[in-house]
Amino acid sequence: MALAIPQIHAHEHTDEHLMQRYAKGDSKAFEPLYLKHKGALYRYFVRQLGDKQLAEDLYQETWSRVIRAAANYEASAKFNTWLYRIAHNLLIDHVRAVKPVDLVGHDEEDAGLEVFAGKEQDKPDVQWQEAQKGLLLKACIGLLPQVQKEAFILNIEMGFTAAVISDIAGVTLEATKSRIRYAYQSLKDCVNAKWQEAGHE
Amino acid sequence: MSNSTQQTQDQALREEVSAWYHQQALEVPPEKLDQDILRLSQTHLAEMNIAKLKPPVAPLWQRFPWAFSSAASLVIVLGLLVLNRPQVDRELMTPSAVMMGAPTASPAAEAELNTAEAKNAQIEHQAKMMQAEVAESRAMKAESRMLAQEQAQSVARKTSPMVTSQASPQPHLAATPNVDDAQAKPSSLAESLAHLKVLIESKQIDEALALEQKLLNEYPALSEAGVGDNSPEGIETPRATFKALQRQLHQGSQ
Repeated sequence: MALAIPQIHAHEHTDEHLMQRYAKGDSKAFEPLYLKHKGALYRYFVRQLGDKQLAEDLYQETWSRVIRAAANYEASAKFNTWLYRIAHNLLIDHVRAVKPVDLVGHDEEDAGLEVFAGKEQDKPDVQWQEAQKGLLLKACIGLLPQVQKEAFILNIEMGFTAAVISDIAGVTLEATKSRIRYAYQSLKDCVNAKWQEAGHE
Repeated sequence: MSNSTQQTQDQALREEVSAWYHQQALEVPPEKLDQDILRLSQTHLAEMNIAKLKPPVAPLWQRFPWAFSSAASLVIVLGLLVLNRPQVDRELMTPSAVMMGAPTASPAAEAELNTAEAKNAQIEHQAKMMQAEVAESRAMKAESRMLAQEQAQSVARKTSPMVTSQASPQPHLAATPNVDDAQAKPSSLAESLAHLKVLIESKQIDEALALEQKLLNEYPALSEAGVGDNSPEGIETPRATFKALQRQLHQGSQ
């Protein structure tokens, strides 16, 4: 009996249950759900678009659609998948509306590289190298094709498997696996190339 | 390159890139954006609750569904009856046995039936024609008989004065060639007497006796005996004529 209570308690705090409670009129159910997913979803937009204002608009629109569609939410669908499918559709609509070249925000990456170049000789230790490679990675993510970029961020930021990503993006599992593998490989090659361009070994 | 080596390299690649990725600062949405979204969620919830509190105004047909559905059904049934009235009337007039009988005959069978009906009609027509001919011939025979009777009667009328004055039987022989003919039998006393004379002269004794009895029954005065059978002017009276014929008959029969 003592074991059953925590199980019920855990069940009551799943995303799906919180969403159902909110749909039934529980005003306190939405806030924990939002706090849990807000950072990852925000970075999903920011790191793909490179434009903070545009990312915030799409982020707010995603949550607005979640709120409006709460009454139609079915617990059979995982909340994570449902949330990122809404975000994916908004992003695709935006990608179709603007030129692909405009999606890559070069300003921040360039600024990051400038910071990297200026501090290059000040911190030559391993931790510093990793931080600098992190800045280079940010620039390299912006250079990835859109589909690889999305698959990479969903995988590394949210920890989604290839199966979940394929469900969100609406593509085959093999195509998703291929996108993820090419993204990782391209990013490593890009970072190493930029690192060597900076005069490091 | 083996599969396990490939997996090991992929895993190392992912760990390396993941380490670089997590060196980045974790961006979070601005505080104001969080508040806007949370406020939006509460506003939407309040709107939903208000909508739930408002009792939905059901249309009239939803408040009285049975009455409306019954009326609609009635209208449909009546409409169908009005539209198909000729057919319904025909079906009501047709006996149910015919309705539930065997399926309709084939066209070939119907053609045979029509042929048989035509033949029957033709036979009936021929029979009617024959009946009409027979009836016409009978009418003609009856007409000829009546004509002969009239002729005989007119002859008898012409010869009766001669019978009464001369008692000559010649015209009666010509007028009544066949004594069996009932149509030719005389109706008046003079004609009967002339006929009796003819029968006696032609030796038809039985018929003459029968006629004598008949005349005695019809005219009892003929059997009365008396004087004055002859008229004052010497003309024979019917009684005298009958007596004379009676004597002649009985003499002949003996």
